Amino acid sequence: MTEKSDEKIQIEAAIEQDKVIISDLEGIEEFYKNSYIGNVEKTKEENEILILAPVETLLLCERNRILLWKDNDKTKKQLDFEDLLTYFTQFDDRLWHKYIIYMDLRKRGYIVRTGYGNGIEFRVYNRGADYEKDSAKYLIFPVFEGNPIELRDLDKMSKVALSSRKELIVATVDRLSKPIYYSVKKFQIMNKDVDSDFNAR
Amino acid sequence: MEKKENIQISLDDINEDDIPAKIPAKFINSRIVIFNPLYASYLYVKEKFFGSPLGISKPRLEYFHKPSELSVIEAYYLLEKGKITIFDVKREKDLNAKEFFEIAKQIHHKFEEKYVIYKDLREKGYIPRPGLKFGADFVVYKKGPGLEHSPFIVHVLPHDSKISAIDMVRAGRLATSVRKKFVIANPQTINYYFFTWFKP
Repeated sequence: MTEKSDEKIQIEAAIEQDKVIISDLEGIEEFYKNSYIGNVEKTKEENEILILAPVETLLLCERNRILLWKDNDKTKKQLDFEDLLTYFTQFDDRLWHKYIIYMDLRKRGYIVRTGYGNGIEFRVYNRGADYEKDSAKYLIFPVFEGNPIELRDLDKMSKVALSSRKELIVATVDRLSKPIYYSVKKFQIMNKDVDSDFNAR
Repeated sequence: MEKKENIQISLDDINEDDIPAKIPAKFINSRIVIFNPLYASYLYVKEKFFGSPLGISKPRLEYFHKPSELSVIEAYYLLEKGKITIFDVKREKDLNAKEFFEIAKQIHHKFEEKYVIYKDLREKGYIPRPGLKFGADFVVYKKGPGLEHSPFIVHVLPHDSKISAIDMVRAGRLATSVRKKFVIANPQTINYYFFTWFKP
């Protein structure tokens, strides 16, 4: 675990549409460098800022590490977890489930990154991995109850995993909001000769 | 006949000349039956486990004195291979592959999809047998039923289907409870997938 949640430095941030922006360099240090949360971008003025996705914002909010206000106005109400979840849901109606998966993996000490495309929601590094040197080990593809996936999506997904040499994990969330993970492997069924088997690829 | 049933006949003693090039089967009550016990035994023992002998749940690898029943999928496979003929008792004629295929589609739900996978497995040298008792389409052996303990379970998804969260959990659960690999087959691309419970 690279995260130091006991230090409790709270960082001010601002909401911009479906993102949260931290301009405080201490925030970049704390969240990005220590925990690999968010993405660092440069403004027109060449200042480094940290962009947080909704799940990352929710995690930091739950850990009391981030300060946000309604309309980004400090004189107004400070936003709590409920406010943030309600607000971000307008951009993603599966945010709650995604957050459950994200939070579960983060709590288990994994580095979890958002966005990979093709329906793959997260990529996950092995525990203790150095994100600057290592690459992610797993691709997380959430499947939600009541929203089955097409077989061709599974084909596509496993191709992506195979070509990037990562393990494809489907994550599903039960009605008690407990994530369950399944590793999906494509089987190259070889012609049975001496002692060949269903070979995992 | 009574006496004969106690005598074990090794199939090694059977003269291949006694087996016709095309073994006759009958299509009766939507079932495909091979009445001649010698031919039935031959298909099971020598041709890598085709058919199920009547009333014998775990046949030994020897001659059995019973007729056997072929599943619709097995029958179509053997018919396509030219190994059997299927005589339709009602129409009083042999069915060709095309005629039987049309019937098979009607009497077996999702026949085409299941057949594609069955054929692929057979062509690759595996022995797919009905997997109903494991809650799936096929139980797949490398050597044959009774000869190994770690067959695979293959479930064929309809080509237009989707995989739901429940399907995946079920696959994982079933694999764990029967201690066998549970493979989901996509009949459109002939791809096989394997779900295992992953504990992060």
